[in-house]
Amino acid sequence: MKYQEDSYYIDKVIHGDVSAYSLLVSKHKNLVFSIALKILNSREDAEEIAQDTFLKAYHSLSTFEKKSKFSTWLYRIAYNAAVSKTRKKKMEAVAIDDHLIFSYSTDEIRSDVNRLDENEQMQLIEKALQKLPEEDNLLITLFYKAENSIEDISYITGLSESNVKVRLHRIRKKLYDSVHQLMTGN
Amino acid sequence: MENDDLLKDDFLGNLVKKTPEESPSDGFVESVMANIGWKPELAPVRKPFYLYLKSSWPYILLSLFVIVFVLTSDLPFSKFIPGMEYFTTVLLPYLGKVFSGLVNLFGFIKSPVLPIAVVVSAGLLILLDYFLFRRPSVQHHFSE
Repeated sequence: MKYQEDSYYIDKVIHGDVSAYSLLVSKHKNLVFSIALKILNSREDAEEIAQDTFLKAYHSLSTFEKKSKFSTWLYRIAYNAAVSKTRKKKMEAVAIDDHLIFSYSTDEIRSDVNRLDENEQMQLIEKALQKLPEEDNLLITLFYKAENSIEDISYITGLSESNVKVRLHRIRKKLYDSVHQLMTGN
Repeated sequence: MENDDLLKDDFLGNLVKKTPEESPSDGFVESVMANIGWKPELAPVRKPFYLYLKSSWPYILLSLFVIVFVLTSDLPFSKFIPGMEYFTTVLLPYLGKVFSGLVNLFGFIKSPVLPIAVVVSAGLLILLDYFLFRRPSVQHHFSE
């Protein structure tokens, strides 16, 4: 289904067409659920948090300032709700002065992976992602899958932009490491 | 500080996008909307034209009966009805011949008339009940 811009549905809801909210829910439910699932690691809890997120968002819709994207605002609600439920600390900042060294060439990995078919590539990246801690998995999802900017991710998670960048660099390295290990059978 | 351009990794991005998306259970959207307090509207169903015809049959039959009754009766005003003379001098005798022919057609039936009359009457009553009291099915439509 092709969706309109979020602002289109938001305006309709604010002007009384509540049914338009169902399209917003439909559009964003998967990522909201994913965010909650990665933090809580339980489908039931994640679904409960996802429901609560959309309810909170609906009741606060009139106060939503269109300075940021609706999705960013929504994901922040989901993230905070999930973290509150699990009583985990929010993501901790990582030291900025770490240096990352690649012991192999990423170009080699890319060419090896490109030789695989679609299904094999999908299985490979799934296995690599499973090796990551859930919080790292979440950051990768927000950045590469949902294509949120560093600024958006900083807003969602409460981390500073520089820390988001550092974490993403480290996670990227971990992913290449995992892919390399899986490809070489280590 | 790492080069931020390294993060713009299309290869990794495309790879990550291949992973299947997690989704909540079926009925999630409906559940959220129900919690908000919204109920789907039932769109009005337009009655097909043939149903109007079907529901009018008793009235059509009744009208036909009244017309035939008036035309075949000797009421004082019947002579003022246009075409009445043609009806009584030409059409009625013709219809009489047709029906008498039908009587000859069923002449082979030796059974008593009464049971046949009961069966035919009961059948007509059942048909009448079917067309008088049949209700069209109601369809629910949810607006999008």
